[in-house]
Amino acid sequence: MEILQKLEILAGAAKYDVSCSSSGGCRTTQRGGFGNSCPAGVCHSFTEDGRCISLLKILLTNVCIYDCAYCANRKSNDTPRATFKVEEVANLTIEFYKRNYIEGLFLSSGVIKSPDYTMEALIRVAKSLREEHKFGGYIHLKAIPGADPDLIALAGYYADRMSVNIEIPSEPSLKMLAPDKDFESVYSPMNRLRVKILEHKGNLKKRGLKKFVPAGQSTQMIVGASPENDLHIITLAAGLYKVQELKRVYYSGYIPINTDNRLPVISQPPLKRENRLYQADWLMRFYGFTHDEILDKNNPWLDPEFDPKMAWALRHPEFFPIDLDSASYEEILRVPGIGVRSAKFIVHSRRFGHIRLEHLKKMGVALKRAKYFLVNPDIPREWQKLYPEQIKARLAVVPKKAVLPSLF
Amino acid sequence: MTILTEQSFEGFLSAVFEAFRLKLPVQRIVAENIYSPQMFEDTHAITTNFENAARVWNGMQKNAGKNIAFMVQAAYLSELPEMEISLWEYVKGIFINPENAQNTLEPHTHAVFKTANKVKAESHNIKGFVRFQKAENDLMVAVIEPTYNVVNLLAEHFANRFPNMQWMIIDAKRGIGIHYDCREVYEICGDAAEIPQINDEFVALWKGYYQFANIKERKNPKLQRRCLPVKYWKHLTEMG
Repeated sequence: MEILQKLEILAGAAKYDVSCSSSGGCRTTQRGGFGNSCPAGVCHSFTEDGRCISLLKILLTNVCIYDCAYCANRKSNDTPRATFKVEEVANLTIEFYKRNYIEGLFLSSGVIKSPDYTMEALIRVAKSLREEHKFGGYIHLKAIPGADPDLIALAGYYADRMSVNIEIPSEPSLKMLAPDKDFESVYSPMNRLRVKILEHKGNLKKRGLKKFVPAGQSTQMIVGASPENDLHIITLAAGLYKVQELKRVYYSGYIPINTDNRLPVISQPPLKRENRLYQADWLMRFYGFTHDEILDKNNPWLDPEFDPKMAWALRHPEFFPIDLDSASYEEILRVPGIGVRSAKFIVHSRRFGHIRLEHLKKMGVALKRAKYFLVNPDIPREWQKLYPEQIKARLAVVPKKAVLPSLF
Repeated sequence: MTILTEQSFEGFLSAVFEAFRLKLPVQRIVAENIYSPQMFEDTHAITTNFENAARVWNGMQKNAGKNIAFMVQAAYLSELPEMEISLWEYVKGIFINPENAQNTLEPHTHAVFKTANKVKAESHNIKGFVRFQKAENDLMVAVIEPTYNVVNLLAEHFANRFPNMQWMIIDAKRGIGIHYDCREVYEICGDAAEIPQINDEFVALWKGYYQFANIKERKNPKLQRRCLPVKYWKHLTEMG
């Protein structure tokens, strides 16, 4: 089979994995080799769906012994199958990298023969790139659920980031949709990697110590393929950040690839819900919100109309208004319309004088939302006295472009 | 008074030095080659003096720190016409009142910070959008057309990444570029059209991959254009 055909099958099969980041690594170029990675990561291109390409994202093979309902590569699907040779993957990665098409390799795989056998195959590719070709670029490897923890730990010496996908956010649903998998097979490699990463961090000062998964772990959940609510999902994510110390949890709006009576029938992928979940995720990682602040038992779903931060602000009028001259950074971050960058800017600038409305505009604060929650001499007092439902009504009014009535 | 300088960062710093020393009433700073005379205008030409430029450069680092000095350089590279006067006010401020160098409530300071961030952001994005193409004698050539003059900011990144590869990045808009010969990076002037390309099988594979990675159900061209502005498409292999 031609390389282009294989690429079509195996890139097409890998594209549903949303993880794309190339950040968090800090590998320097080896002597006589090439390639490095920088902590910020670099996006190289964007496909028509608006997602970034920074890694060559492929499967080693799309042959699989499992039959998971949501997966394009399940064994009961009649799709063309292909398998890359180790050298082919290494060669593609290197040649793409040298032309600056990509930042590195993202390698996943269907499960062939056994999880251990598959994991070994992935390790062979990473090892070949790092040792034979002295490749210093980014490598993201999948840890195959159910593989021997020692094998997974070995892979960590070659990879910058590793991930095990939860896919379905609750165990009963996972067992229904993927009869061959359970939470144990996902959590055990995750925990093993976590311990190993911690050990390595403790020994950082030892010279000559090989890096171990320097960019940490990530995972992915499919949203909308099973009945779990948003509260369940972000509670799970919060646990993964806290206990398993993941760097990222990705949410993937369910796209019906297979027809299966265990799966819901939808016409549109739940992109709005996915977007709201990412916003909630950001609130947990960068804004100091906890999962039970964002949602609770009475409000188990994220509001499609308002972003989660605005929804929180509307539920907590007692917290506002905020005085930008005296409030702490953490308090300023909670104002809708003020992001991390503007909050830092405000805290930085207020040492030199009062912050006026024109400064906020220049800093990029979304005053449309922020104005109801701030004390500022330039903002009318009445706006801070509005009740949440009044603010809701005002926010909901979208100023439309004036449409001239047609004459006929 | 309008100050005329050479069109380079050193030229600008020399002008800052002289104007500060002579207490000139600066209203405008323009590079000589793009200057068109206006009526009733008093001009003063300042020749580039590397010693003076270095004194200003070191003085900025000493008074306000390395980050601020590089920020000034980045803002200068934006080549925006109104930037020079903001920079003049800002650099003057660094020497008169160093504590105020971080005060972003000042309009000039805010303009410098904002522009510098834009230039840095573009240079970061371009690191991803550079596409090397095979040329003769193992040379890899890339052409870019950035909005700001960022080509020199790319040198370190690519020299570290490909220490054993000969490469050249050319800014077609400005006719300048950088060339790395496996030892050092040189600044060059020239045109990419002079360098013939070699047939490359990986171009087709990359174009293919670009199509295969797309999820049709999630089509979102608006998002694509926001992340990858159309102005960069011309030199992207996958868009051709």
